[in-house]
Amino acid sequence: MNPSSFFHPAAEDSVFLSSEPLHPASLLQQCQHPECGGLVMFCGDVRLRNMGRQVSAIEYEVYVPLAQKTIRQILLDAIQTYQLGTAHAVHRIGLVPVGQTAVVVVTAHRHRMEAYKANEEIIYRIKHEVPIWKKEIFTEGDFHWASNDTPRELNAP
Amino acid sequence: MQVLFFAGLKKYFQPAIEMPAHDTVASLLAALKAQQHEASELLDQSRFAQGDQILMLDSPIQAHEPIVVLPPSSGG
Repeated sequence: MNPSSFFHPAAEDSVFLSSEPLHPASLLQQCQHPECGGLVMFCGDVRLRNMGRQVSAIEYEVYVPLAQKTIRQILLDAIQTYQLGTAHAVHRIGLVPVGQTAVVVVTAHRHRMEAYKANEEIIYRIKHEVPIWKKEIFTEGDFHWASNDTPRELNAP
Repeated sequence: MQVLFFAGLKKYFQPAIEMPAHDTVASLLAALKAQQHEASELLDQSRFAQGDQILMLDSPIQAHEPIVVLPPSSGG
């Protein structure tokens, strides 16, 4: 495999936000790496029920300039910490109906354990550090802004 | 100066408002809390940014660029 053919988040044209439906299999394929025997993919889908109520969709609001920069940095941090072959993540923007994928994280390492650990760390940091907010829209038509119970040290100026 | 709000903060503020110039984030934060007492707790949990730079409480504010107020994230 040509080493330049797999995805790397440092590439200037990397995109980590999408207003179009995600294609997890394609993202996984982009991360296949000749030195990596373990690939882990996490998909976060919009689920039907939350807080005992039926959800019709989630609308994701994003502060794009900082979200794009922060996701790239989280991926680069994980590559360095876990010595990954590569890592990728894409998060949806806008309205995402129940059953569609809202976020995908892929990690590739020589072995599976590091790929699992890095993947978990990346999705945790995306949920708590990236300026993205979910508005849960219920089937009755009302909505609320969800919380991820972010630890205080990860927020506040 | 223009101040932009996101997500749950829009319950208390219009998405974009004009404020008198402030030298630092701390000064702007105090003014916003004075304007909307009910938003104080959420404002204290929020980050401030200009462009793609997160600002600290003592960071100077560039008056010509909008400042954004970012409540705790809830992506994923």
